Amino acid sequence: MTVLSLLRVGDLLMQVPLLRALRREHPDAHLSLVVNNGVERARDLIPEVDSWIVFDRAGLQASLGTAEYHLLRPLRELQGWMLDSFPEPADVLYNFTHNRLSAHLAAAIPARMKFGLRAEGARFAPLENEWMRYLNERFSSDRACLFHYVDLLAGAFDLEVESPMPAESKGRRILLQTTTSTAEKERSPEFWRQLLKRGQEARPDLHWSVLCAPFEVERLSRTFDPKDLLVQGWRELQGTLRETHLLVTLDTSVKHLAALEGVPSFEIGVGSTNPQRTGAYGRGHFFASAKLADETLIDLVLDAVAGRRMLQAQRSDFDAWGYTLACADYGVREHEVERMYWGSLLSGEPRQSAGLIGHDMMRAARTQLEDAASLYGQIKLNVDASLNELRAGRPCESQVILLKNALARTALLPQPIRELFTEVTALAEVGAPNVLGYLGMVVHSMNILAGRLSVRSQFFGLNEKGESRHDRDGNLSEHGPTAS
Amino acid sequence: MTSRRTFVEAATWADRHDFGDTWVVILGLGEGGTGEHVLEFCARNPGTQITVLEMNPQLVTAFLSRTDMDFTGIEVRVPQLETFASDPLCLRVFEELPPVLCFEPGFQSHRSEFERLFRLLTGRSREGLEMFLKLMGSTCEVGEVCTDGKRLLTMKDLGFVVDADKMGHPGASAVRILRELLL
Repeated sequence: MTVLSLLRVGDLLMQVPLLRALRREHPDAHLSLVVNNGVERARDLIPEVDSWIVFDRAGLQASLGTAEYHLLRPLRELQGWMLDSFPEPADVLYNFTHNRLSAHLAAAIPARMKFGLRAEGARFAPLENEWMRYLNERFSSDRACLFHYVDLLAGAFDLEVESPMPAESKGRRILLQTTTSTAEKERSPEFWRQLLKRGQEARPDLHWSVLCAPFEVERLSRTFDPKDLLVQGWRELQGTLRETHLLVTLDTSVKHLAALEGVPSFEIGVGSTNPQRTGAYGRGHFFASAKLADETLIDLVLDAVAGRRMLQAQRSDFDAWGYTLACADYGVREHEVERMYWGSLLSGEPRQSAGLIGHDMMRAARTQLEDAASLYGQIKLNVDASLNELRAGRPCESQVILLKNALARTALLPQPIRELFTEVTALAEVGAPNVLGYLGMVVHSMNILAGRLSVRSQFFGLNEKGESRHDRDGNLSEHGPTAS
Repeated sequence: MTSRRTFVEAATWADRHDFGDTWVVILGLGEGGTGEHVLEFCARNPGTQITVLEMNPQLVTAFLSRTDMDFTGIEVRVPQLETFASDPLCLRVFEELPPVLCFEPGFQSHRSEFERLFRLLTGRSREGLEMFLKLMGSTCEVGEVCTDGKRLLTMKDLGFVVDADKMGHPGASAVRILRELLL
């Protein structure tokens, strides 16, 4: 059994649940893993693999880019590697990589059966199933993608991935992963210095350390006191994570290692990082946008360390959008219902039975959304009225009444917005001066919710008015509600 | 008499060409046929076999008359471009695919011949690629696919050749893999 995984260490670590699934399904098979050079340093972390075959991507690229070399030289090097590495056809080849290079490699490597993207001559073989097509069309594009990378691959290769255990703190260490493979994904050294200082002051009972690979000692010693550096290679780090309370990290492979060990991570996402697609796999991990101010981020980290929900970490002066992102404890998995629906479709169940799989849940969710859609309008009215009251400078009491009315109707709304309502109402009751700002946040959150409701309405067959477009048998009508 | 500039030029050139191969082809002997760069290269790569190709026979004579040089492992030749495909050197190049190193200060009035020879020996011209594909047993028609000129052909061009080959080139998969690796 051969698996192609020609990405980076972090991607490979994300794929470990899939390798484990393969190992469970084929306990006696010899599992060979084809990786790019450099990635084999993760060898000790993945005992499921029997043999590692290193694809010398860098060497071949060097040959290709050397004008003094014959045009056929890299070709001969590659053909020699193929003969040495794959003397016999494998029973099965899985291409976990899903890019053009791996598709051509999958075509060239001898195997009796092949799964995943592969070339057929100059073209590509048809994709095998709906999951594969979804992965192909959505994962690396700007289109919405509801599934984590691991879940997509599990669907695409029909593998039973074990649900990861919720991440739990396992010791008294706080680890800071301050560097990434590219400078564009990093946060300023000053931020990390401040976080370390405030963390050590606020929680001296915990052991705060900055993770440092052996080759980073010189660089990180310029930013941190050497006594705060924890210099470790992969294998030692795996052991250290097993006694770690929280890993604070950028978008790095270390967060995936922490996820494998069931250790909570707090990711500070820079740039295009998308926690729903490639965040630490499993529940109990946190994500905050790097757009937040340093102080805010540090507050959020300290709240996560303390085990408080991030929602309670709010202060007063950060903007609503940043706040919403900061609340995105994506382990909560807000899209569970949409994922179920799409999952059943992608797995090939007929549309009718998509509604029958988890039928009760679907029906309940639809009712809940219909209710929420109608409630949203009423709540929004109350909030708008409250805002008008505030703008008109009327007594605070009426705001409180309006907000309480709104609050009474929020039972069906997502937990973060409900808690926000509670807090704003409490602030209004004590006549806090910045209630207007808080209300702005609530309205913003409501608008985001409204956007989601609209999307969900499409999934669940609701028309613009929130009416069902399904007939009595659950079939979707193209023309609005079916007359009963 | 060799100038200091020539020494420096030769040393710099030899420093830049550290390939670690057991055989290299060097094009050009340099001004006056002194071959200082060959000497420098030998000093840095003991045990490496060297074939020097020079278009000007007089420079070859001058070089071979140096009394201060050990010519062990060094072969110097004047190539015949028109019959090169049948030259045993061509077959050896196909078998071993050595680096072909240009000493451009030595090209002088023979620049176009040296450039043609370089592209021929590295398979990076239409005629060179055709020649080596024939040695591989391929019947691909390179001429229909590659637009040549002075541009050095790359794996992308070879990719076009195998894509256009309806018979299915035996190394086509490997060529397509390499095409994806081009930066």
